[in-house]
Amino acid sequence: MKRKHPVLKFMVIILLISSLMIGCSSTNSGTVSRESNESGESSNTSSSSQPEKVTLRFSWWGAQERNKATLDAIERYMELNPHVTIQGEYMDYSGFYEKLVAQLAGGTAPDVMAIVDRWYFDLVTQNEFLADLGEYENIIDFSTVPENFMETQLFNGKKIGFPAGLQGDVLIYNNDFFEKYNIPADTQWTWDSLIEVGKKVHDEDPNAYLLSLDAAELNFVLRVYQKQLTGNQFIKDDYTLGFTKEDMIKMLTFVRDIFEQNVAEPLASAVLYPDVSQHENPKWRNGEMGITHKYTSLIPVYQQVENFNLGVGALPLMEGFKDPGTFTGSTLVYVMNKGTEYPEETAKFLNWLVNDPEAIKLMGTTRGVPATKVGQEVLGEANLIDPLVQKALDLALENSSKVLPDNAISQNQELTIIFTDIIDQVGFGELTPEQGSEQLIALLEDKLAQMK
Amino acid sequence: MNNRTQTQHSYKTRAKRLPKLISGNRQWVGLLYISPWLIGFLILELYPLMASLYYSFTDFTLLRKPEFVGLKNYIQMFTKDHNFWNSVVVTFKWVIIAVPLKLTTALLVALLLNKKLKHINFYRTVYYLPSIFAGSVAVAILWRFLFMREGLVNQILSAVHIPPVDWLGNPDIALYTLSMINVWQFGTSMVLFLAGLKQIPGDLYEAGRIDGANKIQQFWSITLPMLTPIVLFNLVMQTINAFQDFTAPFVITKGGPAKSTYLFSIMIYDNGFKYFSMGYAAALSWLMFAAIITLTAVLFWSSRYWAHYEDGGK
Repeated sequence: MKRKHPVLKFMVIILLISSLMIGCSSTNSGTVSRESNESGESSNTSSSSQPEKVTLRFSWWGAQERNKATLDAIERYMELNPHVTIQGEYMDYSGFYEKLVAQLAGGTAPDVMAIVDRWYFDLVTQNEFLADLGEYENIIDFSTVPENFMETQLFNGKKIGFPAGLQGDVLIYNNDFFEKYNIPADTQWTWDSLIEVGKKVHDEDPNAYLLSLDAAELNFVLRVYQKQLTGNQFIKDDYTLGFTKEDMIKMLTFVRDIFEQNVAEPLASAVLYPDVSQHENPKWRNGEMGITHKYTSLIPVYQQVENFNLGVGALPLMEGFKDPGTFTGSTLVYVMNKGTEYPEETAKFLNWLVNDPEAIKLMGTTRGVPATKVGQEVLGEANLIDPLVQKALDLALENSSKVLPDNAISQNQELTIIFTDIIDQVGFGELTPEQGSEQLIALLEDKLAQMK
Repeated sequence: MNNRTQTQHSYKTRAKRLPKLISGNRQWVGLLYISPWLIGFLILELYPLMASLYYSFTDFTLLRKPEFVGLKNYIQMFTKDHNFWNSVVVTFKWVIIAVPLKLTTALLVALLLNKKLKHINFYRTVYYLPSIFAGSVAVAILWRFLFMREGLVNQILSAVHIPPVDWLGNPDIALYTLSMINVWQFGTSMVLFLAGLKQIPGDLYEAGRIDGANKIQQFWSITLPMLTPIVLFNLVMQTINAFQDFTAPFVITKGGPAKSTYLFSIMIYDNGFKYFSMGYAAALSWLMFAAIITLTAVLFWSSRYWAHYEDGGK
C-alpha cells in the first residue's frame, strides 16, 4: 500500500531534492550573508567616512619559518589597517604553480602572489593575468631597488613584479670535508680542477665524493658553463640555440666525467632526492660529500643540519671565458592579480611589505636578502643578515653574468626538461656526450620550431 | 481484496489532483529518484568526458582560449613526441609485469585463506587492509623510504652481507621495484578469488580424489578451470587499473630515473599540468582510452578459448 502512495512518494522526492539543494548551496548562502554584511558595513562606513572594508588574499609557498614570518607581517598590517583583512594562502612548493594556473584560469586567483619570474612567460605573454605594477608607482616605491638591478627585473619593459630578495648561484661547502682532504677553502675552481681533485678524493676514500649533483642541479651549473663558453643566452631571442654542437659536447663531457670518474655521487643514488634539497641526502649529512650547487637563498636550509661546518665558494671559471656566467637575480617577486577588485589596497599592502622597516624586520631573510636598499640597511643594522648568506651573495655578484636576465624562452619548462633528460642519460652512461649533444640539438630545434 | 480495491480507488481519485508529471508518467518518477546521481553523472562525468574529446582536437593551454587544430595533436604524438614510444613501451612492460604478478599473489593468498583455520576471518581482514591504504600518497612515500639506498630493505640485505641495491635509482631495476610494490594491493582480486573458490562444488574434488588426483592435479584440473570466469573478470579489471596507475609511480619515482618508469599516465600529467598543453594531454588520454577498450575487447574475445562456464557461457 505504501509503495503505491503517490503523495508520500512526491513528498519524499521533494524532500530529497530540497535537501540536496540545501547541501549544494550552503557555500553560496555563506557568501551571500558575508556580502550583505559587508554592504551593511560599507553603508555604515560611508556615513562615518571610514575606509571601505576589504578582504585581500595573498598566496605563497614555503617552509615553516617563512610561513610564520609572513603571517606575523600580515597580522601587523591588519592591526595597522583595521579595515583590511588579509587571508594568507600558503602551501608547499610542490603543486603550487599548477594550482596557481588553475586559479588564474578560473578567475579565483588571490590578489597578491609570490611567484618566480620565470613564470612570466606563461602568465603574461599567453594571457595578461598579472597587473603592471608600474601603473601604481604613486603607491609602490620602486626607487628603493637599485636601478641597475631593477632593469634586470623588467619583463617586456614592464614592472610586473616587485623583487622580494636577491639570490645567486653558489657552491656550498662542507668545511670539514675540505680539511680532511686538504682542499683550500678559498680555491677558485675551474671545470677541470673539480674533476682532478674529485678523483683524488675518491681514490683516498671510495665512499667519498667531491660533488653532490643531480640532473636538475646540473641544469643550472651547465648553464653557467654555457655562458662562459659562448657569452649567449641558452636559447637566443630569435629562438635559435645559444651554443654549438661542440660547445654542448664539452658540457656533456663534464657530466660524463664527473660520474664516470667518481667525482660526483652516482646518479642512481643522487636521483632519489630530486625535489628536496640534497641536504636530506644521508651521504651529505654523514659528511661524505664536499660540494653542492644551490641558490644562495637555500643556505639557511642547509644551516639547519646540526653540527655542520658550512662554507661557500664561487662557481668554476674557465680560462678565457666570454662571460662570468654566474646567475644573480630575484628569489621571488610579488605580483598583483590583474583581476583584483582592490588594486590600490593591494598596492598599498605590497608597498608596506617590501618597503616598511617594521615589515622588513618581521619578514627577515625568509625570502633571501632583501632586494631593496632599505631592506638591506634595516636588516644589516639589526644584524639579521646571516654572514654566510651575505658572503655567498657577494661572491655571486662578483662573478655575475652580463647576459641577464635569462630570456623567457631559455627558462621554458619543457625545454629545460628535455635538457635534464639528456643530462640524465649521459650521466647514467646511456648516451655518449656526442650522441647526447646531437639528440639534444635535434629535440630542442624541433620543439622551438613548434613554439615559434 | 475489497479493501485493496477501495484503496486503489482512492489512490486514483487523489492521483488526478496531482500534477501529471507525477501520476501520469511513471518514468518521470524514476528519473526524479535517480536525479542526484544523474545530475552528478551529466555534470561531473559526461560533460568533462565530451569536453576532453573536443579539447583533444584543440591547442589549449588553460591560459588561452582553445583553438581548433584538427588531428594535429594525434599526429604529433606519433611523429614528434620523443617521449611517446618510450612511454608506450614502459606502460606495456608495467602492465605485463604487474598484472600477472598481482593476480598470482591474490590467487595464492586466496587459496591459503580458503582453508578452515582458526580466526580465518581475522586473517582475511588483515590481508585486505593494504587495498584500503595502498592508493594513498602517504603509503607511497613510505615505500620510497623503504627502497632508498639507505632504506630498510638494503639494511636487511646488508645484515646478510648482500651489497645494497639501487632499487629506485637504477634505470634497469626501478620498474620492477615499482611492480613489486604494486603487488601489495592484491586485496580486491583476492576477495573475488575467495568468493569463486567457495562456489566450486565439493563433489568435484571428491570425484577427483576417487580418481586418484593429488592436490596439485586437483588445482590444475578443477580449481583453476572452475575459477576462469573470475580470472577473466580480475584480469580485465586489473589491466584497466594498471594502465591508469599513477599515484604510487608518480610519488615514488616521478617517471625517473632516466624515464625508465615514465608511465603513460605520468606523461599525460606532465603535458597537462607541467607544460599546460591541455589539448595534447586530452588527446593522449583518448588514445589511452582507445587502447584500454581494444585490449579489453581482445581479452573478452580470447576468453572463449580459456574461460569455462558451467552453462557453456551462454
